[in-house]
Amino acid sequence: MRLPSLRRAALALLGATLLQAATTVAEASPTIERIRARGELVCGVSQGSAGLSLPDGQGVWRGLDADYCRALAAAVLGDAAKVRFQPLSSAQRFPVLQAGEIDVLSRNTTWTSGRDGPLSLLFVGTIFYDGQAFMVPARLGVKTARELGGATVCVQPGTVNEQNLADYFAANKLAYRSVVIESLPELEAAFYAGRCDVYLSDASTLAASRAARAPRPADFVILPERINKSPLSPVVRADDVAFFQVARWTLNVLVNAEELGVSSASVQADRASANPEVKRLLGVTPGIGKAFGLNEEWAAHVIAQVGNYGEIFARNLGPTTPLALERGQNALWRDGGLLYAPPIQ
Amino acid sequence: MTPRQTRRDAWLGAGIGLLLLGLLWWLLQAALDRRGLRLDFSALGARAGFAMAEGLLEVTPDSSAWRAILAGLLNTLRVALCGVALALLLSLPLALARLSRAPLPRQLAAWVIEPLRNTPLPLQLFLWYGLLLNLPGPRLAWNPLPGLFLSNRGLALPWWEAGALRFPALQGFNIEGGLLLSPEFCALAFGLGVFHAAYLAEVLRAGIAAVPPVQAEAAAALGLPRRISLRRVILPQALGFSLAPGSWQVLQLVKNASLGLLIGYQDLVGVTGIAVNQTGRGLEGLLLVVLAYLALNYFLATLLKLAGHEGRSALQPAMPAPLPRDTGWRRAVGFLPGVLLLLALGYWGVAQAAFTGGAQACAAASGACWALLAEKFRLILFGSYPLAEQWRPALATLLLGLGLVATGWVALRGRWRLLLGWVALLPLWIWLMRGGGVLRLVSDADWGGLPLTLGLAALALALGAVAALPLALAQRSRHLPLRVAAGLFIALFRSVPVVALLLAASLLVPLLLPPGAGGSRLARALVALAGVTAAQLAVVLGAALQALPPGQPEAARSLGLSAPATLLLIELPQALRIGFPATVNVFVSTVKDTSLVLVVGLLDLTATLRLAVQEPQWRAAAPEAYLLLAAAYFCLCFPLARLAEALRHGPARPAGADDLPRH
Repeated sequence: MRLPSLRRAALALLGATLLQAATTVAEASPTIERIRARGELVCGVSQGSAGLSLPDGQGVWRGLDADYCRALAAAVLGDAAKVRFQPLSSAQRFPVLQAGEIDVLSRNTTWTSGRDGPLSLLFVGTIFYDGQAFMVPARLGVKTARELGGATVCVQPGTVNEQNLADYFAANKLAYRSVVIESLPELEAAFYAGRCDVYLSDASTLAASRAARAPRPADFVILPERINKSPLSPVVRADDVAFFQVARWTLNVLVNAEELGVSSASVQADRASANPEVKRLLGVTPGIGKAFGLNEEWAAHVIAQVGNYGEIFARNLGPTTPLALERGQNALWRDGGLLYAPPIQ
Repeated sequence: MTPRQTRRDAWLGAGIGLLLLGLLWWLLQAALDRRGLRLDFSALGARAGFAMAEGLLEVTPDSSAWRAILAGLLNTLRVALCGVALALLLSLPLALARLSRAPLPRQLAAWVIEPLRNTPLPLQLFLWYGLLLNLPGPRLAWNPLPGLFLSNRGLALPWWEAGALRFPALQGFNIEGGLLLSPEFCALAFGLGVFHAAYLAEVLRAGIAAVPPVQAEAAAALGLPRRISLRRVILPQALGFSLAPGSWQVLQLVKNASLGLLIGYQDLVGVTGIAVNQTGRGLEGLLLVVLAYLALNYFLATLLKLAGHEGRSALQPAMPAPLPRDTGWRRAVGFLPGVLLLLALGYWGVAQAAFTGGAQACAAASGACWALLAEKFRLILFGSYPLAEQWRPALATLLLGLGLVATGWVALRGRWRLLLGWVALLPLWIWLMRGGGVLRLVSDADWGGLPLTLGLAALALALGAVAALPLALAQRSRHLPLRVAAGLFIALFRSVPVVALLLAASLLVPLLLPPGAGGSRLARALVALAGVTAAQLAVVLGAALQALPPGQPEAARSLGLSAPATLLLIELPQALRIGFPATVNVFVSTVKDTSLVLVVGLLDLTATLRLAVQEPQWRAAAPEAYLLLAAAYFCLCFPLARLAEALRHGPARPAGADDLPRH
């Protein structure tokens, strides 16, 4: 009797110390407090980008960026439906985040040093790997981008596109003219009407456009060069590191869940899994909750309500959608892609 | 006031104005400091990183961002200059056709002018640009005159080069030599030109009608032929009447050049947007644009003042004669253009159209793609308003629509009971949309589509009208600081493009106020729109007060009425009557301005229609979406404009025409 009770007392003491340690690790986050008080996460999205954030015919926001916000809401509030989406123009996005009007910016924003450093913002992690490419009419007979000297290029403004374009042509000592149009339907109309020789955009956008818009898709080729890296990432304010960590690990949970084979369909059954990492992920072995000042089931809520990264991708961008994108660089590292999340440990 | 006093007041006023601007600047700096941010314009001195396709100033990626912004400013001025020239050139024939006794030219002019005046300018720009892009390529360029080539690569003109006039000619794949104007430039210059030509034509028509009929009769009695009498007698006087409202049109055109961004013309706003996006410094870019337009407007206004046409630009001391009416066959001929248009629309929009079956059916059909509506009507009409609650915005919209119809009906009879109706209707609208009590709360971030467009317009008008009176009075105040503050407010809201004002309201207000106190984005957009409306109405009201015969207040004073009583009982009622038609025109422009709130991320009807054609399989249906939008705005604005026209000849005191268009 004495020994067990002593042991129990020692365990209780240890538990209390650990708990205290855990609470000191997970600092209080003012952003999370505000989200809980409000009862919803406010998420800045684009003004319409197919597959990333776009309302469907019923007015419900769909897409990879929109689903990331749902996952974050599931993590913080336990309910993926408690998100208020705020469409933002590219000029608005950073000032609105800095002013604290939105909690997170999930708006196909490229992660660059010029934005990460001086703007008091933190980039959460790459949610989608893209890269810019050129599309040209096949009849021009162009095989590589180095043959594009003197071309007229259609490009969207307000993104890093133009800078990449200028840098690429300068590096290859080629001349070009640009036609810069903000709205995608107008820009594409200009390209397919022959206003430009070349259409510069993210490779994913080009592929989707060619499939849906070109009178005959075979009449257009996407040149093999990728002129830059466009890692898209959600963004949060730099003044709340605790919330930044929750945002980052929500993304990591999505990727890890796919890697561990945990999906929205299997998450209940997987609670009984023997895999220690799955147990840690789903909070069967405690730890993941305390680490971030959330409850132990937060990751399980995320997966059950939104799905893992693979499910989200298939639903919004995959072969069954109008965009019909391959996973490519966005496959898991073990499948030859670039997605690699740090372990849940 | 002696000239010396005037001069002293001008200096004092400028000083106070600068002081106010300085105070605002300091407030902004302090607010940014609190957030650990600061304004940093030095990033604009760095390498621009992008090249500009056209312009008077060459910009390569290695030029500084400042140089790019300056080139953008020059581009704005260049396109505005061409637009003004075109508008002036077109307006006189349009005005004369509108006044013609023959039915066909008159009806044709009406069919040109009314759609131009009553639809948002951005939509018109999309149309012109789309048409230009569908021209044949350079090898098959349209060559109407020697040395003039029009193709989907732009307009080539003969130009002075190295001391000799050089004619463009087809060489290989492209047209070489001469001056090549890009399709973007051509579409923008043409779009601005015809849009403002429609307004200028109406200004001119009013001017011509304002020439006393005895002048024409005297000329006829002297045996002058009609043409000579028009050129030598009527037009010189009509131009005199039209100068003030006409010069206001020029200022508006310069402001509207900022819409070039939508069709790929790199003007000041567009270039600044690109330059700040490279660095993420949106606030600095916005401040630059606001200051540049304030300066530009001040400069142009001073020029016009020097030319001697200052003064009552908002009202015109003229009453345009009612348009002649036709009977019998003349009436039938007048309908001809309309019937032809309807037939063409019917063929494309009904006979050859796809109504159901998704994007595949549209790709197969040669006509319009209405399947878009079948699939997306909820998104288009209501944005992201919760599905189960959508009967509420539907009902709210219906009520507002009925309110508008009733307004048109009653206004013709001049009843002030109307005001009470609106005082009851607007809170009811807000309650239906927002909820509370028995209705579920719906955040205004989820409002969208048609109800948002209508509601924004109605609320902006109501708030603007309420704010206009104190503003107009402050401008007439005896106290110089009050006058200067009101003048500054009016200058700011009248000379800066609405797009920049909306962005400023959306970005600056939350920075200046403590977190949570900045109101919703809808509220801020509303403040910007109401500010624009208030500034314009204040000018109209000020001019109307100015136009009152001075005997009126003097008589009131001599009867022993106090100053406030004189204002309330004698001056205001008359001024409101004089200014009423001009007020309705301000209302039309406010309604059209609501189409710009998409720049701050609100999902009004323009935004939801654009979202509906954003997915790749629907992008080809963009023209249908724009046509619908144009039709919606036309249905709103045309009756308002007709109301103004009717009021000019109605029971109200004869009053001036004024046209204050913006998009």
